[in-house]
Amino acid sequence: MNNNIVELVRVWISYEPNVYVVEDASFNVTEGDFMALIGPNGGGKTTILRTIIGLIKPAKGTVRLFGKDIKSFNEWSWIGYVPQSIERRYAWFPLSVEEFMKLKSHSMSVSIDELYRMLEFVGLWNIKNKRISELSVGQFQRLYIAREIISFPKLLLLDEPMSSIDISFKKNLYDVLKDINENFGTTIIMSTHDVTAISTYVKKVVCVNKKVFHADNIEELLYGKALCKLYGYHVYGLNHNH
Amino acid sequence: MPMIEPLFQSFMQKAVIAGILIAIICPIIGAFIIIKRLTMIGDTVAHIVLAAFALSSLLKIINNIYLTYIIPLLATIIIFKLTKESRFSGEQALVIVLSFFAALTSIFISLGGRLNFEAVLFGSILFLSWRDIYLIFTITICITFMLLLRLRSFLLYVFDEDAFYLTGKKGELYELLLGISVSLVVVASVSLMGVLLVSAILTIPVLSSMQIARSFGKTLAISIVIAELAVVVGIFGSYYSGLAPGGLIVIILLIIFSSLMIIGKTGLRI
Repeated sequence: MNNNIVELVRVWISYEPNVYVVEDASFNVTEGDFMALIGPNGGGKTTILRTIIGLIKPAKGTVRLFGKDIKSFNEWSWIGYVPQSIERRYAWFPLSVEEFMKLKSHSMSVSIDELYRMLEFVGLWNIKNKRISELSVGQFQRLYIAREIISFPKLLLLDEPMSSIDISFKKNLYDVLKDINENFGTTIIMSTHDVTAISTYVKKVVCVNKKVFHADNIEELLYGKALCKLYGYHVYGLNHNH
Repeated sequence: MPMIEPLFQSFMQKAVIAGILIAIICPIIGAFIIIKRLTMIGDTVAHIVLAAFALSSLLKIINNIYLTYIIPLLATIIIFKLTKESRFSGEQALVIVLSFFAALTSIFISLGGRLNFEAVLFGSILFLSWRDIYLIFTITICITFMLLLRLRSFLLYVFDEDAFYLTGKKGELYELLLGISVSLVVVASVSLMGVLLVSAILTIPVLSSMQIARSFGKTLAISIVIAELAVVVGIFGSYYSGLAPGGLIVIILLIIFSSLMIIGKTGLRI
């Protein structure tokens, strides 16, 4: 049985005619994967994530979600997405933390108790009536992640989700991601520069720098020359097994 | 009872009813267009209405209701489409459209169209008919009901389009409904507020309440209260002073805005 959640088949992506930011990318993400998408800035990680969920249409190639061509895929509520450097452009509007959480909850079966528990978990319950414009970038990032994981999506995409989150809370959030991945079967794709986290939490890695040129296991990535090749200089991962 | 006395006059009854309705629907629709960063849309649609007035005058169509509603309606839907698909930002595209319709107005007037400029540009309490009131009433009820019934979806659509897309809802439908709503509300408000001042009633109450409100719900509630206060005082002020209601309402709105901005700077939030 084909349990591919995401399939990219020879995908080319461009913003300008004939100028490709991603070339001939192919990889699969299977059910239960916790996959990291790594690569240098401008390498195409965000573009690939946005293409997977249909926010960008590829110039060539095929994207399949849950075995269906993306053009005929309709089950968008199965998917959670946390964008990169959470958009602060609209955070100036007086929307409260609680209202922000409820924005998507009408399309999910989430009770108010669950919503409050999630806010408590991400440390934002006591400021649930505060405006989101008054949150720090890290708090806003936590809020966004909380909103996307509360309904336990079947597929969760996170674009550099921990970039502004402090070290202590980062571990908690990684643990939650691991938990929903292992216990609720949520397939996770996360773009990141956090090589340490990759070695601890991630099951599979895809390297992108315009082209996908490495999609094997983590040991090979950490101890082989893949990182050096990807970034163009010496980069080594740390493996924490404890 | 000097406050009640004007209400025995038919034109004041119509102006007050229209004003109360406009002060409900304008801030509600204004909140969505402010978040969508299309604050100029009120001005742009008003200039389309002005061109429609000029055209109907040129064509000697006295009863121009279809022209004044349908031209802005179609144009607004096209504007929403253009702002999404063009490489310009929404506001930049609106300035181009506004200039185009201002130019058309000028051409229609040069060709022989005649307008009562004072009333058209700055509003009037004299020219509302009962048919206008029924239309404003229907527009207010329908749009308020639609927006409140789908409040979170509309809010998500204007606030975070990517997240909205992932709910599986049709963005095109919400875009169309918002475009139609903005157009109808602006056309309905133009008679009282005037072409040049109509966008003020859409935006200033919301921008004022944003200074002190903690949440979207409170922003809406406070902005409706502000708009009601300004409109009712403005209409009565216009009756007693003979000044254009649009101008008086905007001055009152700006006084409230300045006061709330000062209060907001103290950190007070409701």
